[in-house]
Amino acid sequence: MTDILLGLASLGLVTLIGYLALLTLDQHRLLGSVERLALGYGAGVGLLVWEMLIFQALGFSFGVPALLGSLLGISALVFLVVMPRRSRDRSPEAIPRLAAAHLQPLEWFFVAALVLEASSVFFRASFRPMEAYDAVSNWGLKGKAIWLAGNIPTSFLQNPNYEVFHPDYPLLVPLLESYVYRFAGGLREGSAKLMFPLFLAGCAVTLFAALRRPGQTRRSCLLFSFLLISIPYFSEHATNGYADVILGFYFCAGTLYLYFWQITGETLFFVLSTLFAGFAALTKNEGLLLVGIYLIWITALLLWRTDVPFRNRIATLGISCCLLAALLMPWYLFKASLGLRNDVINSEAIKAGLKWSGISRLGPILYHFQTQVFGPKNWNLVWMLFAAAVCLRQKVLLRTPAVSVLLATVAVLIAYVGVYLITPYSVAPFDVTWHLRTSASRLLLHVLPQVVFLIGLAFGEVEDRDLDV
Amino acid sequence: MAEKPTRVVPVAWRFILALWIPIWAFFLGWPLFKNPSILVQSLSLLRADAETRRAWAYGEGFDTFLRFCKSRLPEGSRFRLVGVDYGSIDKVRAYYFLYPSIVDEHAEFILVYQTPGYRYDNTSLYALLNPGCFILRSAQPAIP
Repeated sequence: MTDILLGLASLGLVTLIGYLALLTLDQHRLLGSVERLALGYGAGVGLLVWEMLIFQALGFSFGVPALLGSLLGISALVFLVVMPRRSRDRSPEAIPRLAAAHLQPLEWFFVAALVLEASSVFFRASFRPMEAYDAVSNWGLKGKAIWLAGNIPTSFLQNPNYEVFHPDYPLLVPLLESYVYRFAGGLREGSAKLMFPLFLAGCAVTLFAALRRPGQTRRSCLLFSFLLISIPYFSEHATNGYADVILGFYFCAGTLYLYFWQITGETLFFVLSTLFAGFAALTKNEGLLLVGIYLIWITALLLWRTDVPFRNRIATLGISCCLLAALLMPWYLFKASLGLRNDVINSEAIKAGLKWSGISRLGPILYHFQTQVFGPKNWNLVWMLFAAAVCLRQKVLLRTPAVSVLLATVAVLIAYVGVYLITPYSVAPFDVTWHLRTSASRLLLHVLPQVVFLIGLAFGEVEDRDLDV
Repeated sequence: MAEKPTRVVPVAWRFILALWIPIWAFFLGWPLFKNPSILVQSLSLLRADAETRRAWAYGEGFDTFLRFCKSRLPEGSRFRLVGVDYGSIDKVRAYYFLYPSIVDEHAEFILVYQTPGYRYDNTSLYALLNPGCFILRSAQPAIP
């Protein structure tokens, strides 16, 4: 119980930082309170980790008072300076609230199922120690090393005996774990592991809000939030200490708020999507893919929108590039200074992999993905529903701006297939089949929330009212 | 904002829910049906301390071995493992648990797990848990 309370307290303060930052940014009150809280958690985590990387560059140690004091101080100060001016011209919230009263029986069922699943995930995450493969070898070990050293121990990342644990991987999860350990005053795994179910809850809230924004009914949003959280593989990965649900959150938020910027032109959504794309790249290397897609998406939109002056379009692109560079620079400069490189995707692997013989791997790759599509034990029917949505509801998914979300999702999936085509694992037992078996299904988690969003758009129920977004 | 009461559930939803909920309920309930003691065990773990939880996750034997090694190894020592498969999860759990003692090919300590009779040149017995699990110490100084 102490573990849970300490975990919630440490992550609660991080959420407060993100919440205050979003409250300051949200000039027109476009975000609902719960949505802001969920996004605030993701933003707070990202800002804290970014700050830790800055501390590392400056040679400061990761003391909790210094880390929290500076972030909380700045966010509270900016909030207090900006807020009194803004409170005068407050506009109504864009997203209708989830009124507790008047829930229909079906909605009660969804709420009960959501509470059941979420409690089960929190329960399992808190009582299971760090024990899954990547949870200990990749994230946990680095988290422990950072916690013990009080900074990022470069000698550990450069130790060739630990190369198998991917020293070049971004450090969002280990840094956050080390922060929780420092806050809790010991290696309390039960406290640190709470970060994962909180991201799962964040995904569900973001999905709910994202469907509510285009005008779906409350029960429709509840239905699709329930579908997301009841996918066994998704909820399991919010308990075992892997980083994929966290990346799923940042992928989902980065993509969906870019989509909302596309359809509304609100600056807040643009800033949010840039922030979350940057944080995705600080979570796992796959997050860089989102950054790439994000930049292509923005460039395409700006080229297409000829009604906007050219100077403004260049400025928008410039701002997004600068923001991303500011977010990613501390990590990539640090990584370059240590000479760390990826053992799977690097120039040699790409050169060696660009052969026609690599096409023969398509068979095992497609077979593996097929086992996921028809794997109800892990995924229930989500991939079949996705296929049905694309085939049956082309009017909604292909002939509206939602096609951008669909294209981004497909681009991610194609890129992941491409990785397995060039992977250097070619000799049994560590061949492409092994690589697929140990990683491919997890990669699907990255796009899962946005896939459920697309299913929601396709089969959801739209309210008979006009929303101002 | 008040919600417009709509009682009719769309046909697509009926179809989705009719397939989704049975599959969800089945895979949620099946492990409990197969082994009802899981629930009791899980509830007891909620009140257990960190060591009990780790013993449950790592397995009693391996957890005992790791705690034995941790208590005997000097702080920050270099070790290598014998008796644990290269790709096994036990290996990475040991690396995690024993840190800040670190892995080294030319280690001063050799941690031997479930390998009775294991010997290595220029080493002597440093600590013994049982005939299959022990720590050997190299007589030669470790190569830095």
